[in-house]
This record gives sequence, C-alpha cells and structure tokens, in this order.
Amino acid sequence: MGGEDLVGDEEDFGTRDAGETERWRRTCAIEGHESEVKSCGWSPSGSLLATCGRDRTVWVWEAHGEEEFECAAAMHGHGGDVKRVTWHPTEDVLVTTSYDESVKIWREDADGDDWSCVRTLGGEDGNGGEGHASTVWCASFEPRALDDGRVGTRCVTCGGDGKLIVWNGKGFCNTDLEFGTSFECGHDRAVLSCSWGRNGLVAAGGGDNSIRLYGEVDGTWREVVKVENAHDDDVNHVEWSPHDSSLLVSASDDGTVTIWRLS
Amino acid sequence: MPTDDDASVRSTRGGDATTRGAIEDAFDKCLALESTARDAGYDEGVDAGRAIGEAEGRELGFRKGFELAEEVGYYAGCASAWKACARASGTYGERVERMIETLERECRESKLGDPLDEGILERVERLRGRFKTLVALLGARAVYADADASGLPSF
Repeated sequence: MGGEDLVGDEEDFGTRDAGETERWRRTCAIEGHESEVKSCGWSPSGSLLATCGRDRTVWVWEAHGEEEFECAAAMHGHGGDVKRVTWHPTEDVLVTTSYDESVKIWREDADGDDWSCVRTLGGEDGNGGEGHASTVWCASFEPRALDDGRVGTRCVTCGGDGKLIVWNGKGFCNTDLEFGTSFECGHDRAVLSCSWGRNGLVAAGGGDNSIRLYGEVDGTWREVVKVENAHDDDVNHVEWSPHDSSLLVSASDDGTVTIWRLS
Repeated sequence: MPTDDDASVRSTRGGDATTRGAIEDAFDKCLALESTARDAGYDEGVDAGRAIGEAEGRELGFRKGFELAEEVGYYAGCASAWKACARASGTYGERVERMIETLERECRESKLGDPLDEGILERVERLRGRFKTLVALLGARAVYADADASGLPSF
C-alpha cells in the first residue's frame, strides 16, 4: 500500500460565468429550523431530504410533486448542535453526528408518520458504549461496491477528540452499527470531515490544515498518505468522487476548493 | 497506723472506684466538648437543611412540572384548534389530519404525573417534534415561531 501520493489535480474544472447562472433556478425554500442549518443531504432513494442544525433537531423532508418538499418529521433527541446528516448508501436510514458526542441512527416508524432514533452510539445517551469523547463532526459509509470487489458494510466517524472510529454494520442491510475499532488521526486538532472511498481508503480533513488518508494494513488502520498544509486553514470537507476513485475534493476555511488525485 | 488525715487524703486521691470514675467522666466531658458541640450543630443543620431543601425542591418541582405541562397543554390546544380548522376547511389532506389526530391523542396520553418517570421527557420531545412537523406542513411557521418552549442555550 506504500508509495501513494495525493497531488493537486491540474484539470480545469472551470468557473461559472454569468450566462451559466441562468441554468440554476431556485425551486423551493424549506423552512423549519430555528437557527443555523448545518448540513443537508439526499437519501439514496432520492425522495427524501434530511437537514440538521444548531437547534438540535434533525428534519426529514419528503418530495411532494415536482418541486415541493413537505415535512415528514422533526426529530429531537440530540443534546447539542447536530453537525452532519449522512444517509445509508442503499436504505432510507439516517445517521447524524452531534456536539453532544453521540452518533444517532434514525429510521421511519412502521406506521410511517414519524421517524425515531433506533440507536445512539456514544455520548450521554449511549448506554456507556464506546464512542467519541468530543463533538462528532462527520460520518461516512463504506461504499457498498468497493474497487477490489469487496462489499462494504461499515461506517467511519471522526471527531474533535482526534479519533476516527470505524463502526461495523449489522442487521438488515447493515443499517445498524456497533463499535468496531478506533484510531488516532495523527495530529492534535479536530478531524472535521471524513470520506470513505471506493478505493478502500478513508480521507480525513483536519483543523491542522492537513488531509490524511488512512488504509487498513493487516487489519490495522494506518495513515498511508499525509498532505500537511493542504490548505492554509481548517479543512472542513473532504469527499471522494463517486465515479473516479482516485479523485478527492477538499474545501477549506481558506476560501479554496482543491481537487486531488491519488497516484 | 492510719490517722484521720490519712483517710481524708485517701479519699481525695479517689481511692474509691466509683469516685475515680465520676471524676474521669467529668474530665472526658471537657475534652470532648468540641466534638460534642460539633455533632449537635451538625444534627441541627441536617434538620434545618432538610426543611429548606424540601421547600426549595417543591418550588423547583412546581416550576418544572408547570413548564412541562404548559408545553403539552399548548400542543393539545393547537391540535384541538387545527382539528376544528381541518373539519371546517376540508382541504388539509389525509396525512395532516391523521397527524393532528395523533398529536391530540399523544397529548392526552402523555402521562406527566410521575416525576420519577424517565419516559416523560422522551414523550414530550416526540410531541414537540410532531408539533413542529405540523407547523411546517401547515405553512404556519410565522404564527408559531416563538412557540418553542425548549429555548435552552445551544452551542
């Protein structure tokens, strides 16, 4: 696995010019949150949208006709800021991460009129189970179809405690999670974002301005690539391209977005 | 040969067992004065503290119980009003009407009576969620914007 490197990709992705903006039209404004909305995401089925925010709530919205969304549920339960919503790759099951140090899994009730938390991992309500010791910033599911032919079943989360935790999938379509293993990020700042690529590597962006890639070597997670000063400020978001498993995008507080290629 | 003087000296020396015991007790009381006083003060404090604690606890419980019940009562009132509006307008849609019905029923069944019931907060949270969902569905956010009783600081 050694010898890999992450380099800034030179391909020109272009910039938006004035004419292009006419192709984007606001179709719908969704209101419900009472303060900053921190994250949003489409479900794998495409008919649901999840949002979460500083008001400690998680909302699920359902597509209603062509361009409207109506509220399906407003879920309480997190004890702090909800930082991120992440949908399961194949099922309409939602994972949320929060300032309250927990990771919650949400599913629609059998009667279809509400959503409930079916599992809390870590934090105060986590029944003393293993988890993060600080804000959990992000969750990313192992892609179901990995490049090497394996079927992914796990999920990784990262937190302000500098740890990345790999959770093992269990239950129906691996929609339930249990603690698997945890490893250190390699720096003493928060890990703000993580993304599990089809190449099997977990990319993480940190408060130390770095991007690091971690891989499983003989069953243990290890840092395999480190790009220090990938940005001039906090790296808030990293994401592997869903189509080209050597492409990674990163966004930072320094105001730039960089595309990287793994070689 | 014992003289009267000898006898009196003998008695002041506490040659008699009970007299010696009595004098030792007297000295013990002096030596233990600090801890005795402290124990007595502690007991008094516990009793006084218990009384004040009970009074403060009752006041706090009243306040918290009131807040919780007020929130549930508010949702029940809204559900009742919305139900009437739904019946009058007939345009709310089956899903919204079903949710109003559920909100009303769950308010009724919220069982706030037992302060030791840990499920109370969970039930109230679910009610809060259903209320907010309905507000969003009815497009009535402007009207109910300040309704959130859980205005705790967040970070």
